[in-house]
Amino acid sequence: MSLTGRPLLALAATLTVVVGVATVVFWPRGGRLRPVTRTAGILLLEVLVVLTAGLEYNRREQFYPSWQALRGDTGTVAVTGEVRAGLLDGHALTGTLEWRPPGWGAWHLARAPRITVPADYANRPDVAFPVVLAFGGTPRRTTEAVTVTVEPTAATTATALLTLPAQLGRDLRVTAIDWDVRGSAPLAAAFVKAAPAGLAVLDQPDGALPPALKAPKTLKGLPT
Amino acid sequence: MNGLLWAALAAVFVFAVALAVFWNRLHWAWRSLLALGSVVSVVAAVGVQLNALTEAFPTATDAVPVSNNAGASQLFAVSVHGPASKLTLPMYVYLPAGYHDGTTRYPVIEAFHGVPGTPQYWAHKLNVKSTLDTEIASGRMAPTVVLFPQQTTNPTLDTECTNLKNGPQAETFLTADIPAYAKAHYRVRADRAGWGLAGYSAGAFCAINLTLRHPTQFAAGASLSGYASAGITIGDGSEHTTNNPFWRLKHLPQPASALWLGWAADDKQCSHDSRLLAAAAHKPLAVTTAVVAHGGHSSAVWRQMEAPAFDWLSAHLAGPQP
Repeated sequence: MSLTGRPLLALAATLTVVVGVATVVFWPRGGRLRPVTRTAGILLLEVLVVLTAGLEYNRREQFYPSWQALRGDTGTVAVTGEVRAGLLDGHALTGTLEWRPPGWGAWHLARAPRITVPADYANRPDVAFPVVLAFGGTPRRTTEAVTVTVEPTAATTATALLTLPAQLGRDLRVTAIDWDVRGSAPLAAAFVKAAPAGLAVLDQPDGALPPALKAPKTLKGLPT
Repeated sequence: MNGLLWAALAAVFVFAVALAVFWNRLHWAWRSLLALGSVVSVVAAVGVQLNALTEAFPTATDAVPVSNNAGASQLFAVSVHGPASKLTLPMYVYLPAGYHDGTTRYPVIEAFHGVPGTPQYWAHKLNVKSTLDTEIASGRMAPTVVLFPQQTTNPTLDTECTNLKNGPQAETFLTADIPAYAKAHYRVRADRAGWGLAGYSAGAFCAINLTLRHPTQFAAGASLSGYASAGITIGDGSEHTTNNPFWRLKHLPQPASALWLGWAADDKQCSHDSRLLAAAAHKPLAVTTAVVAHGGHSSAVWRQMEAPAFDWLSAHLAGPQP
């Protein structure tokens, strides 16, 4: 019988009435056991009144839509994810790396993007790092971020560069949120505008990058 | 079970026995008095139990224990006087492990309670301290200062974190006074990128509404079983417009902020409202959704969502500043 259905509510209400009537009818009877039968009648009636009111309230508000919910069974677990290893993780990533992922030719850059990773990148294999994407300038190694420096040409478009985040995510352990995109070129602003919501922010102040974290816990439904 | 509930149940029993035993010897006035006592004691027992479930009126024995271990995390109560809102309300403060050792400025999350409810619900029903300790220690969440403000002057007055006309200015308290207090008393980040909001039930509405209303102050918000509308009368009609997240998403430019919307599939209203909001969101607002299979509108669901929501929030806020 459903916790929030009419049948259960009707049953509880009917029982309440029956016990109420029985308590009144048997009030003058019961002989020597009368104090016991009366007490039992009163307590049972009180329990049923509260139960019926509770069922009706829960039926209206749907706090516990099922017996399962009432038991605290959510049919769900919070699972610990894993940061996927990057294809370049095994390589020596000291200094500046010239990065030539598949399809980088479509970006029409003046030269291959240059990448630096934090010094402890290799020592934290389960962590995804934030990203600084610089349009122009000298590659700068930071302690907390993977930096990608690109030198666009007149032929480079923001749309073409939209494949860069996925390529970087395949090759290195990086986050896909709040990339700090730097550079005064209109292309930098155009890239931020064209990127999916939440991926990139133009010229964040120093130190505003998200932290390097392990994969978050996520919700996973249990097989029923 | 607490002592108060046992006392109420004992009263229920005593009145029932007294009615049964003394009925025939008593004048009708005494009979009525005993019957009234019966009813009152039952109502009291129900009230005590409902209060234990919602923590709407916490008792002194519900106080959150303070850890005295120097390096460990701490959860403790303070009283915040807000000059802007002219409200003085209690707030719980979580300081992460290692807070007292360094000079780091931490990101901040303001976490809102439901209605009826109090910050104590986070501490007791949702075990928030141990969840935060675990998520931070495991590296899934950056060390963060978490604030649990009370959102109303009176547990029976539902503010939905808005400025009620001729009532408490809850929004001003939560978005002006609390940040000012936190910046004055704790080493926290002062920038928008370092501040986020969270909440369950009515508090989830607060988190969504205030994230949308104050995009220059808060970068992200997490809603655990939230609503698309306030469900109260604010007094200026804004519950239909500027204090209505769905209306905002439909009629106003959306901010470059991030929202996490979680709900239980069998929680009809929250499921409906959260989907409505997720469908109405577009760039530059980023929405992530998460669903608990079943569990309704209950603490079991929020305990399940707690760690994923805080992990997500931390990833969307700026990290601790050395």
